[in-house]
Amino acid sequence: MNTFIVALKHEAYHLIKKYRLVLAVHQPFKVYQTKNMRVILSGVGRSSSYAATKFALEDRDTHHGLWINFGVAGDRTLPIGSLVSVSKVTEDTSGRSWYPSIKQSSQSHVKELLTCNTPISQYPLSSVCDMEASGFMDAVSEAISSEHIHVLKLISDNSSSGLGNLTKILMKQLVAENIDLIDFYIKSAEQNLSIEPKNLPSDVEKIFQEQHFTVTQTRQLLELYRSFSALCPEETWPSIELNSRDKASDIIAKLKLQITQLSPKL
Amino acid sequence: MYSIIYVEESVRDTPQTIQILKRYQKAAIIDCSHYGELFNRRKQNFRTQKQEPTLIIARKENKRILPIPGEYAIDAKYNFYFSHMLNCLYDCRYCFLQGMFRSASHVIFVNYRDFKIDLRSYIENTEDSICFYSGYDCDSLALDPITNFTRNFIPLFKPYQHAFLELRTKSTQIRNLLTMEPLPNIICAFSLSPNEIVDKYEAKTPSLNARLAAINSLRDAGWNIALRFDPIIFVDDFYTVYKQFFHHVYAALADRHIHSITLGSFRLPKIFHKNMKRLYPDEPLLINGLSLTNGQIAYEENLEKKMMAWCENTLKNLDSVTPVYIQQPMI
Repeated sequence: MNTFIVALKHEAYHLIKKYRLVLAVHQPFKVYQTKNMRVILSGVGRSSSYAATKFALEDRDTHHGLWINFGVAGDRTLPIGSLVSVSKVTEDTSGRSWYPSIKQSSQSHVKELLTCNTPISQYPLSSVCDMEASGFMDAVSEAISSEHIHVLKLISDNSSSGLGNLTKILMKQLVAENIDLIDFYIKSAEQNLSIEPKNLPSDVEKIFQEQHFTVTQTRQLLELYRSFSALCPEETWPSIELNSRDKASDIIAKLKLQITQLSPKL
Repeated sequence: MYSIIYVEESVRDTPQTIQILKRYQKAAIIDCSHYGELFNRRKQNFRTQKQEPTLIIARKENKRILPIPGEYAIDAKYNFYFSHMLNCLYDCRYCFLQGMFRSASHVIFVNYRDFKIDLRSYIENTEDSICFYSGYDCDSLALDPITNFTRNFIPLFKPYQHAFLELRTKSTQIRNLLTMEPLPNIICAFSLSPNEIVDKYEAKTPSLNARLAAINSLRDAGWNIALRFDPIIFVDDFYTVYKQFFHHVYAALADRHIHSITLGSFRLPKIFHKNMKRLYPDEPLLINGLSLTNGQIAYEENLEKKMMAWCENTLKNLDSVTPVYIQQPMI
């Protein structure tokens, strides 16, 4: 599942519409989601973005997807409506920096970004500026593999059309005009994700239903299953005997033992 | 080749950096304060990054020259290694770098002057033989057209007959070497494996025959050549595969002089093996058939001894002159 952390509903409106997301959580942050994507509305500012990202990270099942901070931003020179894949996020107050993943394309720009505490009218020389990205990066970097993390911004104001001209309608309009580009960005970023654990065969899924597997145990089980598949590509599941008293840890131990006894074909 | 390049601010304006960046004018260039911010961050996936590695141009601040354990040495009294690069262009499934580094980004340290000052200081500090290995954290030659490593470092060794430099490589990037004066204290050491292993486990590397052709060109130009059969991998039909391989190598080299041969069986430090298995749970090479011996994951001791003894004998039957060294883990 891909996760978008977005400050305002106007910025998220066309994402919600395009991906047919439905409001699933009201508090502490509004979450719109389907099976494959969710948008969390963080509110404005670094702290809000940090808190919303921390909240979103609590669902560990989403850690294999993309994590994108999306929203509008200002820039000295880029035209309104430019899409920017952010290469470096620096927080103006602390000077700390983070490096999100980037995707290059002829239809988007790659630039650094400065996160400020308050809206600014004097744009930095070489950076896009916003008010949320550093909070997002601060929270997400500790938990998510760097290749999954992106900061994607749409230029909404610049030195010729300052913040005063930025309205809710304009925000919505800019996202609407770029929604296909954003969709393309997501799809190409997904191609670079970590290799997902192989799914268990459907007839083995019942093991999960009968026993409680923690997140770590689930990962271990999937890794063992991938090892088994590599060693015995023609078999669907090892012939281990399970009984009703077996806990998740017993199942993993039996599977591990079985795999240890197999010889690799090299 | 690189679409994203991170550059440490301290080396942004060095001639070496400018020269590298000139080659990648379409790349996104991103400033960073220290390469460790990217290379050493905790949450990264080596396997994912390996699909499209980024380049980091940086300065190696300290610990530029490091000692190697005696077991790894060939015949010099003092043995050190240094790395002008971290990580490798190639994608060998057995490579310990996958388990050692968190990131698959390629790092080039461009402060060659500092490296050279250190090297001279070590060399001039002794009259005994001293050898430097340059291909531990990277392939010495694979990026030579970009790094100009050979042009920068080899001339340093010219005045010092007691100092040796080993270039360890699977690469065929020998153009720079062929334009230089061969020195007797430079050892061009080629890692070779049977075609079956090159095809299966050494992704993106030149074929065995391409490496042999490069060896012959260098030898004919007067360079010292060494052969590195490391790692030896216990494949199905091991003895047939390796017998044909050793014969093929010697047939290709004809009677050319070889400086030295080293042999080492596949082994990994336990923690590296654990990391690699997590990255590649579907890689049979890493799953079974290995056991923990003296802190290393390796073939079962008897099997390893048998393999090494057989390889040594086979090689000595083909070539009774060249010294063969059995390599022990250096990590």
